[in-house]
Amino acid sequence: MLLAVETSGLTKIYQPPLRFEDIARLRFHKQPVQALDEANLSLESGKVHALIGPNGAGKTTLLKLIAGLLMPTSGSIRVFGIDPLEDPLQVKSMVGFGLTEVRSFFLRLSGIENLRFFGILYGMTAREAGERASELLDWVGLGDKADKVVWSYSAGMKQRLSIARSLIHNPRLLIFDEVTRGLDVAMRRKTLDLIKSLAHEGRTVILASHDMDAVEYVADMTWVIHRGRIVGNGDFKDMKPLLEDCFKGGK
Amino acid sequence: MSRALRMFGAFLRRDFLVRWSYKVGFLYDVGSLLSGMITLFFVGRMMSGHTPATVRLYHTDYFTFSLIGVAFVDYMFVSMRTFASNIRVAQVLGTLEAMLMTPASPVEIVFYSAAYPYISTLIRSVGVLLLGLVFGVRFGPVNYLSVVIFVLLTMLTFSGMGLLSAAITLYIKQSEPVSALFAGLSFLLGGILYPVQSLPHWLQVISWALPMTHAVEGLRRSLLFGDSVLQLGSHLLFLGAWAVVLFPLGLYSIRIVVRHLARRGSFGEY
Repeated sequence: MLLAVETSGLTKIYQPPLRFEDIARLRFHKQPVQALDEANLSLESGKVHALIGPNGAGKTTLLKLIAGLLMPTSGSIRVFGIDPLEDPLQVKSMVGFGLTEVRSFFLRLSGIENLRFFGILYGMTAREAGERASELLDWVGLGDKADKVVWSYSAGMKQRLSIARSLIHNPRLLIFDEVTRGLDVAMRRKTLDLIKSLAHEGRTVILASHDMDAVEYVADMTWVIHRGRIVGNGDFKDMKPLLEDCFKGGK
Repeated sequence: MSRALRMFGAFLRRDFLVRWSYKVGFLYDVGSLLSGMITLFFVGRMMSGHTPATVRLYHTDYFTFSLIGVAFVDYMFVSMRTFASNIRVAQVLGTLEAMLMTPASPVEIVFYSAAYPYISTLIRSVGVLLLGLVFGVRFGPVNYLSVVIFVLLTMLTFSGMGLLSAAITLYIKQSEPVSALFAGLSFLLGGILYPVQSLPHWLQVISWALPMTHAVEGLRRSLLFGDSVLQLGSHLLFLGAWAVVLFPLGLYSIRIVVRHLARRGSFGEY
């Protein structure tokens, strides 16, 4: 069984920076924040894995560690057998991160110009990036809006543009954080179908979400994260009681 | 085409399209260039016939003298400001984190983000000199090799400072004041609009300690006297020494800060 992601004892502790006000009040030590506490994951490739947990459970931290954007305090990560700390560039070329932040695009550029730019950062030629960008914009249903500037896009269109960007370099692993947030019913369904089709192509998808219905619809495997620890994994239906506990503040 | 050239082209295109999308801003750039030149032309004409002795040392009139300073001072400002301001804009707009998710290294992102400012500065300074010819600027026997070497060294020296400034900006998440202070001091004492010789002696001592003074002096002598690289050796050595220290230090500081932020997890913060 090929593992797309494997983490072992993954821990992340944030040390809040000292601000001027802290120094002025002679407070030179701030309480560290533990975002992840020995999190262990083994994600099979070619499946949609949902990561669910309440706010502050450590989902985004875990995703950013897998994508090589953060460094762990301790523990290990392997993405298709490669350690992002040892070879971050190799890992980044295999991972597509669907950042849903509206702010992550160049708003004065068109959709296709945004994708072309990021394609080149992923090592493609301008021509390859342009062709791939057109193909992806058609695929996510933005072909007719390709030349419109991104600030004129709706929230749903930006979400789909984000999916297209995460696919520009044809990655093996896709990571989406709250991909259905702010979408209407039709757009949400369309986005989830896009995600399903990615797994059918053999890609691995990690989806962090609060949206239970979305997870039930799309996920092959559900991982429950609470207070920085992975507290359960399995089929969504089996995880439901545990999830309810976590969201009520138990477990 | 090499990866470096492709990246350079991608950043250049991105920033040109963004700048072009602000049509009024684009027109303002052209307008301010012209108005600055016209001002210098009339100041120069007012002074014709009684050019100060310190300017006559350069065998030229005031218009030519100041135009050379103005044409090249932009390299200093762009080199010192562009890295920090671009990184700050990317941090605030939220595009920094998106770019850092690609295999492009943080140093590459910071570095290539200066592509458009440098190219537009090059076009502007060549434009200023060409327009100057129309307005009656008189160069001497130009030594092109010296000009190119001085421009490159000026860019290298000041971009070292600019990279340091970008690293501090990334770390403290706001613009840092030291580089602006240094740029202001260089503009005031670097011999850009008036010769260093016209300053009081004690200010001249400070002036000759600044890299800008050596950069402008080298460029003026290359353009007005045709001085060779050998003749300008002392200025080159001075600039080179700054470049050798500042450029690697700037690159190193970016790497260190990015590593620190990855540990702290605050790329997205602004």
